[in-house]
Amino acid sequence: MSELPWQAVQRALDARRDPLEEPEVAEHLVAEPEALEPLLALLDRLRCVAELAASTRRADGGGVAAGAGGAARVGSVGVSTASARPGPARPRPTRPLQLVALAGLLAAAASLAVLVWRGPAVPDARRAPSDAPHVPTAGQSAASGGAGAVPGLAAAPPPAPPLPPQRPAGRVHEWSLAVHRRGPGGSSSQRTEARGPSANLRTDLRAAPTSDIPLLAWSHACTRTTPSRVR
Amino acid sequence: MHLPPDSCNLAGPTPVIGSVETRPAGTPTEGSSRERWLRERLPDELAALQAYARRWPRQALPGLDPQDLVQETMERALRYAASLDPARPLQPWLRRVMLRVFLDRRAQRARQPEPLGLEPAGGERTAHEALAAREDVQRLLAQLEPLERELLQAFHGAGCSLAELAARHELPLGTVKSLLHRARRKLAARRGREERPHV
Repeated sequence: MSELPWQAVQRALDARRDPLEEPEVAEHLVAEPEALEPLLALLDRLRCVAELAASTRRADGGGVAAGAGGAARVGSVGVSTASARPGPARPRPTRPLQLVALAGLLAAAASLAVLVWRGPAVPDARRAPSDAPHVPTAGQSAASGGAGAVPGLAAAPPPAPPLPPQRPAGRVHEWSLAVHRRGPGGSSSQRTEARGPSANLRTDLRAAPTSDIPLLAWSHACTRTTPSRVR
Repeated sequence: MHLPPDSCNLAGPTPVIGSVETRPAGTPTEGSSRERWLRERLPDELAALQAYARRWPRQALPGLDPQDLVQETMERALRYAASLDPARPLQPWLRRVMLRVFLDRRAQRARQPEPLGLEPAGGERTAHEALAAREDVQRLLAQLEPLERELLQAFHGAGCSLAELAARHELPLGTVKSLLHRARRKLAARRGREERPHV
């Protein structure tokens, strides 16, 4: 069996023609059809080389041709992309900074949605004292033998002062004055003296301490403007 | 449909497919006489033609049976009987017709889209075989010299011309050609799967 006319095959491949169409090769194949096998194997492998280069170009996002003599960049499959021609445009890969910015925007949007749904978080200042968790003092614990009793804990903190009474509806000014006047050490006479504004605002202002002046003014204003509701 | 040698009806009318008619205009009598002469000679050449068809490598055209190749060769020979020179031997002419049939079928197959099914149709390569072939080529490329590999990939993969490669590597054109030829010969000579190391 004679060998394939490889020179004719190489010439055809150099000219990017089908070697099987070369007259010299065809004549050889007519005489020796078995010689078709290595030739087809070569053509298959060259097609694989082209497919590998194309897949590498796609993975690189359309390589840009490097200059003459430029350093060859070798990919993971050993295919040089230095001579790759510009391929189809592909979207640039997302960068980490863009991901972080996107995550921040999403978090802000989620927070805003929660705020709109639940409303602003306002501390409930009027919560009843009974709602507060009960913290037994050292003395109470020792006396009752509760689970929180700590033997030998002598320095018990003083009991917390009672909370001001609930604000009664319709008696705004009286309640406010009473609360304000009755501080620690305040006497009942002071509370009596401060009960309710008189008809004369000027007299009240003169008698009241400086810190009560805004409260007195507000109290008189309420009396004048909404007498039916306040009185 | 196969064409058994003993039931070959060559005396019937010659089918004319499409507009392909290569009889020279004005010589119908000569063409008809050649066709008649060929019909008389074909049964004698059939056995040799079938033996020749069996010599073709099976992987050359997957899905094409040698009997199909013979049948299509005879049909095409009858269609192009006008180009036959009765003074020359018939068997080489029939073999060239068979090569032409093979090349046309190969080109036709290359134009067809690849099937997406899991099962290969008509002797097509499976996806696993295609992947194995790619791995073989990658390994063969790794065995080449770096410059040979780069030239081969740039010429056949990236589509660079020989002149571009010569300018890029500052080499004479003949050197680039000889390096490329050597790389192709290595790629054709080395067998892929047999050299795979056993793991």
